Amino acid sequence: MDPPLKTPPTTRPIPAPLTNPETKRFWDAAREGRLMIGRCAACRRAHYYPRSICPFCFTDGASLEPASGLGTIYTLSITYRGTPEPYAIGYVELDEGPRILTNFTGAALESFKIGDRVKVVFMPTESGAPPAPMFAPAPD
Amino acid sequence: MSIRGKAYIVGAYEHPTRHAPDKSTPQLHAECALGALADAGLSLEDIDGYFCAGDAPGFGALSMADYMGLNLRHMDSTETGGSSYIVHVAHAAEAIAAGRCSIALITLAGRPRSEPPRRAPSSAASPEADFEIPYGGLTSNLYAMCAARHMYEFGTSSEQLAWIKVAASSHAQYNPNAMLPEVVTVEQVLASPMIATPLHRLDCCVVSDGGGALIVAAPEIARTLKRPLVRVLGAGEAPKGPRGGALDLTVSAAAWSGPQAFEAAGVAPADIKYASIYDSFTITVLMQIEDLGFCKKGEGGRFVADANLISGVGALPFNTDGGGLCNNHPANRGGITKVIEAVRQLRGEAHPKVQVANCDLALATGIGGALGTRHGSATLILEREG
Repeated sequence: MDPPLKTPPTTRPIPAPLTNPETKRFWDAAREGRLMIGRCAACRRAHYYPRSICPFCFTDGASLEPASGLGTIYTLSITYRGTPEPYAIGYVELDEGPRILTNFTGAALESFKIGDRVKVVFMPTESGAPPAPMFAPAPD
Repeated sequence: MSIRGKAYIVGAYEHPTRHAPDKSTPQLHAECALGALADAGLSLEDIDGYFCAGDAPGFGALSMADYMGLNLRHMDSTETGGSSYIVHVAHAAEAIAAGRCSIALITLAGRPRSEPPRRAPSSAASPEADFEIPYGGLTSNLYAMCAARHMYEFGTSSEQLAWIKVAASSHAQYNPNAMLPEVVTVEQVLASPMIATPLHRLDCCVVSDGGGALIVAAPEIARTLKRPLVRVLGAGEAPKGPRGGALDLTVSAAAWSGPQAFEAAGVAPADIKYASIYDSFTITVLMQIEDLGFCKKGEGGRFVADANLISGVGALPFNTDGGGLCNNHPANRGGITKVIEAVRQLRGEAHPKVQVANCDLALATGIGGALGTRHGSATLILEREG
């Protein structure tokens, strides 16, 4: 009982991020269409989601910097049941390194494959909250 | 401090219900406690330690101790999702070894079939919430993403995963309480509806009401009781998560909890006669088998497709009660039933059709939380004495 293979991108309502004082700058940037990642001044590693203290070396004072918004699909799953309409959830490995949880949009869900190149797009969330970064096929 | 031989599982009880619309959750906890006390030959006033996790209603151990009338000198509410109760056995052994209690009760119960849990609201207090909740992570797709990556890296197939369900169903046919006692084929698994690619409905565990309880006691107490002696040999526990983006989804925290448990017990994977392996989904079993060293990483698909999990047939008989895939997954948490079936095997009290011959060394392992984001693994090794 395999599903059809041409499911259009989801239009399901996206739950709103609530934001907090630590992540407000990330979400302010999202409103401006910029994807930010955390970068540690001490160990120089990039991380996501952003923290004020580096999750790798636990040095205080990690900063936000803009990511390229480009990445490669690490994994994905198309959810057909337990949802009003199908959607594709997965992880993207950003070109800067971190693998981040996201959804895929901008093409038929079944067209996305592990290894595909993708580019960030910001999708509106409920109640006018900041938009959520998702990924669509990257132009060649 | 080693827990090797410092505590024994003296009571084990699995509630027979799989659908309890007319009972309360605290009532099920208490019925499970009663069942385990009867199994052990103990009474409530003997209990001086109590362990419960997130399924315990109200204020957890405080509410349940008051509801059941427990007089305690030790409590532990460690919460690692469905693997909590495997952790609790180890923590109970540590508490007993440290003299903090002498007879510990562990309970789990819930009614997700009668009362489906409401989706937890987005919480600003959870650091990851804003970065995960918008994307619709469900238990199914958070495990499915691991299966998809495992297939990509190692060529694991849906047919191979289906063999795990086939093995579980071949055991469940002998369990009169099993929710799904019918034997199924690989073809039936593949023909069942797609839930979240690549997992089909029959790759998923059941949703059942019910519960279970365990009693862990000090050696001098265990020896006064009438039940076969089941000794705690070793245990391990570990969490794993996306780690700031340094994530990989083909290795579970069992790769850390397993070696701790084997080292503490002084045994190797090849010594294990029976294994209870948490089967929230077929992929959960596959990854734990690899991570515990029963086969090499990436070879789990071939291992299970060679029927290695079927009792009387393969090298690693597993989940002889039918597991979460076919028998029971009370409160959406399968850890306690994993320990209970291991105890049955060590006592020689599993169904004769699935009882492992001379079963003197068993393992119970579990993954709680979500394999695709953050999860806790616990591994426990038990031995029959005498």
